[in-house]
Amino acid sequence: MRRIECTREADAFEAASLGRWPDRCDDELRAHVATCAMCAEVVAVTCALQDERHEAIRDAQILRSDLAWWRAERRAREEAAQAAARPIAFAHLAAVACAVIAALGLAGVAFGWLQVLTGGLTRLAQEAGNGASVLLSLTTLVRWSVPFAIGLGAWLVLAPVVLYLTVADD
Amino acid sequence: MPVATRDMTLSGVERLESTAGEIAAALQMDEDAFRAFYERTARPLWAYLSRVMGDAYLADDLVQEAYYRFLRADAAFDSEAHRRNYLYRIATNLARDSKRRQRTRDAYGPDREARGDRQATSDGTDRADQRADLRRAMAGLSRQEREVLWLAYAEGSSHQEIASALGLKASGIRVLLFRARRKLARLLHLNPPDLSGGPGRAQD
Repeated sequence: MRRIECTREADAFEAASLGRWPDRCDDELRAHVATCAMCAEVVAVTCALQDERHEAIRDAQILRSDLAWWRAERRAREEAAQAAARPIAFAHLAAVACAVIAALGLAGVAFGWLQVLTGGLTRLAQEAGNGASVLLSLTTLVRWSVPFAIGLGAWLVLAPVVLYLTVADD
Repeated sequence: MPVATRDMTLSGVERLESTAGEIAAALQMDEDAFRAFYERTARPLWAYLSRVMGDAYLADDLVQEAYYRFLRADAAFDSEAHRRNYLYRIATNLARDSKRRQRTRDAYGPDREARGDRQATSDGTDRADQRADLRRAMAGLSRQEREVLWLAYAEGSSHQEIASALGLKASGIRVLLFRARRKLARLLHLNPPDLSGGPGRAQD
């Protein structure tokens, strides 16, 4: 069976990590490490990593603890504010969507009414004969005014919403 | 006669005061306790991250992020060791995520010195050479191998603590550690003593 651990590993690690290796540990452990590949590895790796750790800790440039706390507090506050603003932003979006849907609905209804009206006027003009040119002009005017009326309606609904959102962002 | 009515909306100050309690609760620790814990653990944590990641500047960022997430975490701790392991677990996960995002960039690559890495300085002594050898050898290990070796031999963590910090099964740590240590020793060109019949010999 493959052995991956020596019973003296803990002693070897302790001596190396506490800086007792090799001068301040007992002869028996030194003799053991000299004949045990695992413990030799443990000592070598521990000494190297401990030395690296000491250097890293000495060179570490970390924030002061009060500054770290202050930053964390500020960030938590910002995140709390963002979380609180999320439902409001959602309500804004929903209001805009409702306004757009309402505008499109109104435009559709208005367009239908105008078509009925222009159709009726056209029929009336044709039935009245050539003498009814005034009525025909009125019909043409009504027909051309349809896109204009839709545009105006949409603008009247959307402009206040856009204005509100622009001001609200500030 | 008109009656002055009080404005019931919250002023900015009132709003800040009302959220102060929420923030204190959100941070899960009071300032004094945090500062004491930070003083004890920040430097070792930075050492761990910088050596496992091979990037001192990345370690700076990860340390801050790890403490913030630690403060926001809704977890109960039964001991200082538990608290510390939890912090290392967060830091390890952050390091893994960060590595995943920067997979194309080799932290130990030749551009490391060009980025002005703080670790790249050398005073030309034998010790500095040994450290440079160690860093080169560490670069030859996988991230997980660096993590277990550092926690075991630099931090002195037990197998249980390593498992807890790395999110691994404790039963697998022994083998993982053995393989990582053997690999590092080989990369460091350590020459073990002649071991015929030695008590701890690995029968490869």
